[in-house]
Amino acid sequence: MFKLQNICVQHLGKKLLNDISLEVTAGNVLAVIGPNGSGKSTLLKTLSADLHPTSGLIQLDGKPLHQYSKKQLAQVRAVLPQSASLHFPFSVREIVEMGRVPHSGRSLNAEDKRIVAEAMAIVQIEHLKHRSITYLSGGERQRVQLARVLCQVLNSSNEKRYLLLDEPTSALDLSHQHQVLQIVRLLAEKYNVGVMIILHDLNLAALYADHIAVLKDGGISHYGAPDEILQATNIRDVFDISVDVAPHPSHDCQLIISNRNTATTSKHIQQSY
Amino acid sequence: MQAESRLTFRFYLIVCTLLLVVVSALSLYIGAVKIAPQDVLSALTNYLHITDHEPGRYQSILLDIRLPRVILAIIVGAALAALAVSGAAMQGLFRNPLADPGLVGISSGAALAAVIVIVLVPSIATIPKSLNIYLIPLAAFIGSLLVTLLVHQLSQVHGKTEVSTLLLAGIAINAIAGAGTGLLTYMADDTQLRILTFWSMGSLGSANWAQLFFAAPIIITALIGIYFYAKALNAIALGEAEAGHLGYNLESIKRRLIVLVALAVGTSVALSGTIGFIGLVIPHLLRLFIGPNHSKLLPLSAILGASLLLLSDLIARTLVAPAELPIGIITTIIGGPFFLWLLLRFKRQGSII
Repeated sequence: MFKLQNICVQHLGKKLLNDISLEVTAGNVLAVIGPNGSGKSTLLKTLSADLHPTSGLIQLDGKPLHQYSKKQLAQVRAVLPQSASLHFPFSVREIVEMGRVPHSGRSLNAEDKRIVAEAMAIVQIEHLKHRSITYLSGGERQRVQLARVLCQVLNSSNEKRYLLLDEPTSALDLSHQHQVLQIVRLLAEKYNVGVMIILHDLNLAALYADHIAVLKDGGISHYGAPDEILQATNIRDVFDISVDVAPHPSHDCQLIISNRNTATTSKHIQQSY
Repeated sequence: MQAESRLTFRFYLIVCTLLLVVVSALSLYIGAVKIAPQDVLSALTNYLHITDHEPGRYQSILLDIRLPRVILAIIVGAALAALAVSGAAMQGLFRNPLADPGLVGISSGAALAAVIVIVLVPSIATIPKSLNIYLIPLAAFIGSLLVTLLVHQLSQVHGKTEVSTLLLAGIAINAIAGAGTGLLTYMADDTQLRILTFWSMGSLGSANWAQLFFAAPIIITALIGIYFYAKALNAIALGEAEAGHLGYNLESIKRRLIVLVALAVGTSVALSGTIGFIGLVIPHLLRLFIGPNHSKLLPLSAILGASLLLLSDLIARTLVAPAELPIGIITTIIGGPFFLWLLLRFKRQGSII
């Protein structure tokens, strides 16, 4: 379990995260939502040990995060940052295999290879495996990177693993967005992985998350089960947008419908109407 | 390129090694003095105590002049392939295909430091000439280390490499090193002047066993050292944050790689002066055939770099025989246009980085 207690992060005198307490537990999916600049990526970087909190405590499975070596961390958690550019034409398979680096010795053993194949099968990119990453579309690249981090957290012994995803659906079409979230559920339910996922689409969060944390101005404004959190007033408070919330016609969750005009749209736009 | 169309690593390893053997044999055989192939063979077998013929007329030309030179070319080639390997490593480290020890000024930094030693040290103190063998490589190493650190510091913006800064820093450093060398040329006496000309254009002409015994272990150690970071370099290609998430301690890997690159480049510059473009051409050429995986790229860069340098040296000393062209001119004639072609290719793909 990732356990954050009273985390504050300050950078150049500006408070990026303010008194955050949060848990990411194995087998559960926590969606983090919030407006741009609310600190979602900072939170993810803090959990992935790229940023050190100015104050507060982060524990991973009972041990302070900073006591882990980079390699130990890499063995229990994987991170998918927002896409970085790749200038070298690695093949898709080579990229996915890199996910096994923290677990393997100098070369991949049979178990590693099985997991690589399994990861590519889950993400359905086997047909791309010999292609060069530089020739793929943005969405395909994003899925290849997903397969890589999948490869890093999959294990046959079902030990606790954690996966931190920063907007993994940003470049994907509708069906692949849902594919990614289905994979996330599969990881949580079948492989005992604890997932923290940053999402922009509230409906994806409603459909797939166990818990939702809403960030605003570096602090957690709401936290709880999707049904409790995704209320029209809450969403209006945080996102400055008017929405209707209705029961989903075919699933046991809420459906968020955003309305056309909003009460607080800037004056410039209102004037131009 | 489809990975399927890449032939196997082993195939290319064999091809590159064969190329090296053929070019080495040619380099022993061809030269200002014509020596028959059977004389080459008997001199070699004599040397290795396989046979015990009467030493032929050409034995000393072969053993004392051409053989050290071939071995030097292979080692410097491997070192310039260390340039190539360093080039490959730096391209990996800077996450950019245009990084090259020559372009970003590391070679000229090493050369300047060496030139400072050549011109200034004899006038400060009388140091035995035998010590110079060690002093020059040491200076070159320090020179290349300083430049690498400087360039790395300058080009990093928020953990990412700023390519334009990297290349502009290279231009500035090359210019400063050029001015420094020019100033020292002005101060140098006749003997020093001759040595300086050699530095500025690169040559394997002064190859001798004493230098080799000193330089070879350093270069080979540095190359093997760099090879240990092949997998880390692959991960760095994903992005620095990503490599960290895979368990690599980036800061310490970078530091060590920079020292190893500086060691390889510095020593090779101390041996042969500045020889341009090998570090850029070789890794690129290889990436087209075998892909960017550093576990394959680094060893093949070493072998192919050695072959290409040996070939350039062969051309340099036979084209205008019995005189010699500086080898740097040959590599630049090959490498310069190649670099332009590379820019064109990137332009067509829509990105310089």
